[in-house]
Amino acid sequence: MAIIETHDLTKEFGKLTAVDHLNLSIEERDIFGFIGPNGAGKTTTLRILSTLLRPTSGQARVAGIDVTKKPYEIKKVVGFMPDSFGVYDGMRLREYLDFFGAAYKIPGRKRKAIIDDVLALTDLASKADDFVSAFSRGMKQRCCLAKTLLHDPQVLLLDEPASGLDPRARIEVRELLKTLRDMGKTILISSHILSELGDMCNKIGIIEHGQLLAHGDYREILSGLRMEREIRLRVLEGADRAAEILAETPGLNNVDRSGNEFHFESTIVREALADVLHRLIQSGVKVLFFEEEEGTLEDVFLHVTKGGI
Amino acid sequence: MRVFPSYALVKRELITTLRSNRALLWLMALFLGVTSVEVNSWPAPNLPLIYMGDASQKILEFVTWTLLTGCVLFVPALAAGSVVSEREQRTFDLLHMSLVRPSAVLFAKLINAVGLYLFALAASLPVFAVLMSSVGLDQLQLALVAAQLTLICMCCASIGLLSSCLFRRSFLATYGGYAGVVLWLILPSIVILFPVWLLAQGFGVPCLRGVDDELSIILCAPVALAVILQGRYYVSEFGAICVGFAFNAALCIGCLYLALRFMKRTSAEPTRIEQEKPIDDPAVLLARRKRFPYYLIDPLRRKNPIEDAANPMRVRELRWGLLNRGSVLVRVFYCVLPVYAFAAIICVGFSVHGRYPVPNLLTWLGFEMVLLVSVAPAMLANAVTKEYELGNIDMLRMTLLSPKEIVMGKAAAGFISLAPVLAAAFIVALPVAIWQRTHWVFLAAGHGALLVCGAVSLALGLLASMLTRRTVASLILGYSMAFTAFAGLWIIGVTFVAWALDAHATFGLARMAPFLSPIGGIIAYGLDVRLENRGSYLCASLIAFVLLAYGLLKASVWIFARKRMHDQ
Ligand SMILES: Nc1ncnc2c1ncn2[C@@H]1O[C@H](COP(=O)(O)OP(=O)(O)OP(=O)(O)O)[C@@H](O)[C@H]1O
Ligand SMILES: [Mg+2]
Repeated sequence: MAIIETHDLTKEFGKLTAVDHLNLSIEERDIFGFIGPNGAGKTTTLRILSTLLRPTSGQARVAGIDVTKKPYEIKKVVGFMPDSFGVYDGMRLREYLDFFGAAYKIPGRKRKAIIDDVLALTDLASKADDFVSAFSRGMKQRCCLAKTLLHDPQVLLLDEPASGLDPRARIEVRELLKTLRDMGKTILISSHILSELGDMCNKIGIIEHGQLLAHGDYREILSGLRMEREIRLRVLEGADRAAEILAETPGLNNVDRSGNEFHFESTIVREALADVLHRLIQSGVKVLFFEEEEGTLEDVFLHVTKGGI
Repeated sequence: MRVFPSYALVKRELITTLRSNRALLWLMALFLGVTSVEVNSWPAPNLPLIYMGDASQKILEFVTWTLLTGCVLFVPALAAGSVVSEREQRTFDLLHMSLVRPSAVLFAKLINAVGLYLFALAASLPVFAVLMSSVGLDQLQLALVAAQLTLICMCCASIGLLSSCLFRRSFLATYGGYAGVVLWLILPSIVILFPVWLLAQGFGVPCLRGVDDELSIILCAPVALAVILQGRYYVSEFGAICVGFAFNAALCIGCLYLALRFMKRTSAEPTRIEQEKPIDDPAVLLARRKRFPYYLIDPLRRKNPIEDAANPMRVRELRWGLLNRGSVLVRVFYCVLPVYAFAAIICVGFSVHGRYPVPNLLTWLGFEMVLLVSVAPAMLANAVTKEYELGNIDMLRMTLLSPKEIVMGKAAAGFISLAPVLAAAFIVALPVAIWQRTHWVFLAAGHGALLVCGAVSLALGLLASMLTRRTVASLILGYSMAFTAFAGLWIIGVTFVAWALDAHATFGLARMAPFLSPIGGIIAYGLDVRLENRGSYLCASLIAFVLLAYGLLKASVWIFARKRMHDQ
């Protein structure tokens, strides 16, 4: 069952259409990576989903609840982490979380335990008595994430949660998100740091100028989008013979040889590719590797989007 | 100093200001107001010349005082918001890093703050010129009025700019700007004039006679303006006006110089926050107790978690809000108490109006009310704008707090923050009431009016905060609305009654107009002893204002729920 669904969701700012007939559907327990260039409409979409912004037209539902009709119910199931936010002056971290806990109507007896939990989860336990306004950017980011987790929301909408985090903290966030997914949460995460989304998300959506360009399973999008595969071949013996075979096979382009290693692009079907390997071995070439190179999210991103804000 | 290359900055600041719809609205309002007064007091065609002179004199006075009020209300806030808002929006560092000199930045900000006002002044000069062509004014008087207004405007702007460079939060800067202007207007009178007056009148030091008049012209710019407007100055007064001009010009330049120094200095070093851990150990707390005597609260004592039954918003605003960090409430109480007591002793004990108790009590009450009305709108004027400026509004909206809880929590915190000021007033009132036993009803009514004034000003501040996005705008709006509620309606009422109906029929009505304001109401109640049923009028007026405050709270909740829970 889709837990986040939008139907022709549109948001216009005057003449500018920030989100243009967006149709999203995200399943329960997905980690959905929302990527797109600057100004693509990611933040706008997330803000609409979290009731902070009214859509111009179209519908959006989270956990079956319409975001414009029942904002209060939405707030119970959604945890939203904005891309930029401030902190209250003069509050210590624990007091800050206590305030938000109370504001999320968590009863006092449970609040302390919950705060301890989220502090441990976000690795902030040692900072509990420090003033939030003196935190570094990355620490504020974690503090905001802790705040977002307080009321145990079913759906997390995270707007660039990893910006400002150091590499170690990023890996920790990644692990944290996986843990949260295992706890049964659905996560919609927007980011620019594609390599990081790559091995964390199972679904991605690519948005540009408010339109969804590609949307679906991460691997499928990766392989589906690229017309030509990039193949790497490494041989132990018979490199010259291999070069001949590659050259005479139609559909293999841009063969690039360096010593015993070859890179080439293939536009032929998989069976024909398997035949090529068969021929290589039959003609006595000692093949060490024959593999398709994994595309990266960057390739997909560059391929799908056109650039220009 | 090379300041003029900052044309680009001036252009960015001033031209955009002048082009805005708001500027157009202001100018239109000024134009309409002045025109209506002029048309209204147009002398009849066959009037003797001398009356026509009177009429033009009146128009000049009206326009001048309007311009002065406008200047004191708007210019300090505009100037105070300028540098600090750049700093809040983090554009200040960009400006600082660019090749524009700080002096040029300051100059541009000054131009921006005074530009619209001076434009309005210049635009109303033709009105004066018309007056000049009909009789009654001479060119010197006109020139002096324009010069004095320009000077006052420059002073307000430079005090505002100084405050803007001094503080880091636009709320504090705006408040500091207003406080600075008020100090500039009244401090010389208190510190210098009052002792001189005491010496001259009380102890009869002969050489000081008349000196106090001249001193007040020199030190207090509006007094000089009033003297100029009267048009009957003699040589010594003209001299005093010139000296006062020089004095204020020097003050203005001094403020600008200091502003420049502070602007350079504070851009370098960010505020440092001490990460001191809270103290849990009761023994340590007890040992530190001596450092926080008289019920002041140890800032390091751990605060309790928010109670279940409490509104979290109220608790937050009270415990961590800007004005109310624990001991601050107690300190405010200790500060206000002697001030009120001092005022009571001066006004009532020394009987400034001779042996008439009611005017004496009124002067004291008036002082209390003015103090209250001048702090109360600011208490809540930044309630919501602060959340926008700090970037917390989204997180607040995402919580399960209802709009009503958010707004009412803030309102409740505001009311509680006024408590020390009110408590001090009531504590001082007690001995006065015992001493002036026959007037206890009047005193009680007066303090009732005080409470109502506080409630209305708080509610107006809150409403202003709902209607704007920036603290500076909210403060200006809040104070303008408070001014309208406490003085404007009253003045409009009197004027309307006088204009709409002829004098004989309206004598009674005109006497009831003061009840359109709680301050006016208590004055009329105290002084207009022959007005029948004045007690009921006062009651009705106070009840109406309580209802107004309640209505304003409701309106604030409604606006917040409709407009501020999500963006459009
Ligand atoms: N309040 C607003 N008023 C007018 N236009 C806006 C507003 N908010 C966003 N926009 C415009 O909508 C478009 C989408 O903005 P959005 O913030 O959603 O982009 P984004 O994908 O989050 O970009 P980034 O990666 O830079 O965060 C942009 O062109 C932006 O200028
Ligand atoms: Mg964004």
